[in-house]
Amino acid sequence: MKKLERLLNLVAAMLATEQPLSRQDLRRRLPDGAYSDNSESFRRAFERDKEELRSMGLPLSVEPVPGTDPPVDGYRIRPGDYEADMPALTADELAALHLASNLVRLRDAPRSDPFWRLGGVLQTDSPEVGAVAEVPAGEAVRELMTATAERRIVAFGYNGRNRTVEPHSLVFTRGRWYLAGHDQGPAESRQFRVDRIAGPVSAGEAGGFARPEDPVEVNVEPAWRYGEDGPLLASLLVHRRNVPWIVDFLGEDAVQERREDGSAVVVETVRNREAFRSFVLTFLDGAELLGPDELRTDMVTWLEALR
Amino acid sequence: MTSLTALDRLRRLLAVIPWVVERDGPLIDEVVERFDYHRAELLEDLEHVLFFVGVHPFTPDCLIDVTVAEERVWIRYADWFRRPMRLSSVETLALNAAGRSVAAITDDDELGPLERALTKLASGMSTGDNRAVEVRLGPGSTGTIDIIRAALADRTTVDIDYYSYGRDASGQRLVDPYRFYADKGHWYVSGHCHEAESQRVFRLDRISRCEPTSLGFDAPEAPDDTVDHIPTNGDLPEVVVELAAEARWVVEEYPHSGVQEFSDGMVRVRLPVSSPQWLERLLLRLGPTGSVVEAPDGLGTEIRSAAARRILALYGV
Repeated sequence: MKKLERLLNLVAAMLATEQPLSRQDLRRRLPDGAYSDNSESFRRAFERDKEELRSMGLPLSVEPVPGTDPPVDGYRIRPGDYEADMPALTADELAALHLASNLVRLRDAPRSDPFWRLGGVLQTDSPEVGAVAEVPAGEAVRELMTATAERRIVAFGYNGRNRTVEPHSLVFTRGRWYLAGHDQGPAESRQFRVDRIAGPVSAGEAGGFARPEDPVEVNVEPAWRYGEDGPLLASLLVHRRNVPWIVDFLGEDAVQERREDGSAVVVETVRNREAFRSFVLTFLDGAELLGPDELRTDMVTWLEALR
Repeated sequence: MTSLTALDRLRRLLAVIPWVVERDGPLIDEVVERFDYHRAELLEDLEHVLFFVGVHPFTPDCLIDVTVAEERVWIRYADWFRRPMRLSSVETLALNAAGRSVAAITDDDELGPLERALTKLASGMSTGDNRAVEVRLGPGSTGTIDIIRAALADRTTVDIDYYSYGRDASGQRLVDPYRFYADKGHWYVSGHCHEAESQRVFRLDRISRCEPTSLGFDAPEAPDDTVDHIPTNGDLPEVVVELAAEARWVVEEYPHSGVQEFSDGMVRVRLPVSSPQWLERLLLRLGPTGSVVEAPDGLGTEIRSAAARRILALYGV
């Protein structure tokens, strides 16, 4: 018998049963010739089929067969775990989603067929287009995505230490993936750069923790807003060539004054002086720290050492 | 000869069956296109495999019924496969994240097809989970993005005001957009710049004004994609900078053509210099944690001194 036929019959048998079926029960429910008569060859072939079906995402559950002692492994696929529960997408919704996944492509992800299961896409509805963004999605990222979605506790090495983390959010921003969550070790909220995770990520059972009401969010706000230094309100005079960008970046609310020559004064709360100095220096002579004196003096001292 | 494994074919068939079951005899050709099947393989799987699939005791009433006639196919009595397999959580999250990142740039109507699709996707996820994975491609006004994407599609020139970070100068330019893309957290448009008379890359958040024009252009067969990257092959002048351990971020942040490690965490990195202003910024930010140890004329420590003096002048020093 063809392997495809055997697998289809096996899946049908596991979906149709209301009780978990032992390996032997399943063999009896398949047509003659599905598996070898030799019990060892059968066992090996069955194990292989089972693993292959799992690898394509079939939610195969293992439970003891009722009434067996010692317990015998029984297998089935609960229709509730298997069947799509999402409302069907209309042709234009499917096309829009397909276009989006073409525009923003996950790189290194294994070939997957979500669109087949959503009903397939016709070229006329959504022709292939070039990507506008390629987002890396290697093994660690995929493992963390699953863990975040299914609330699995993850363990990995980071900065030379083993971490055990309840993952709350996974965000791709500024060209990198970041994971934020609750680090069980020191029992605190933490953020990790996924590209700095050393070695493999291992994930625990689904539903291993409860997502809190206020999950830890990935925060990539500018470094000067988050620091240990006592907060200072810095005011910065910006040359007109840099005004459009900084207003876009800090928001119109940060603008304190617009001058006739096109320059502008913006204000910003600083909690990490070193980071803010670094930021101001990227404007070269296109920005001047007007105050407070502390920051202004610090800038002058820094530059005097470099002239 | 078949090109797909049994598992590949199973995966497709499990999607094809419920789709065909729900319809009254769709065209074979449509199934072929939707599910990326070879026609011969599809017919083989339908007529010589699926026809024999069912449940114990495999009497006719327990078998799937497949009819292929007049270029159409009907599948009946496939109760166990009446619904497609659900998307895995990773697939759902990945689609959701891609969809939301595109929705953010298209400024689509809330009732548009993409938004509706995302709402349906999210319905299968528990509360809050649909926001747990997110792809942020970069800042940029959707107005500018719309104008550039439209110009790219129509092959028309755009008129922009652009601040060049490298040269620390701003000005008006006419640009024929060739490509629009996101990279490392920013949107870019690459294209032919009329003023520079060559291909350039523009970062979206440095475009302060963007207007469409009626000027058309012919796009080259193969746009030069080397302008999108800073070359590390020696085409640009290079400097060697010695970095203290706390300044190692430079190695990760910028393209370089070689790193030499020293025992105390110190490194020397060879950096291509895309503009003198870029090097000025880097050296001023590094201060005592970075020093130039090798440089062509005009790109040594003197460039840092000159920049420091220029800025100090603003402070009256």
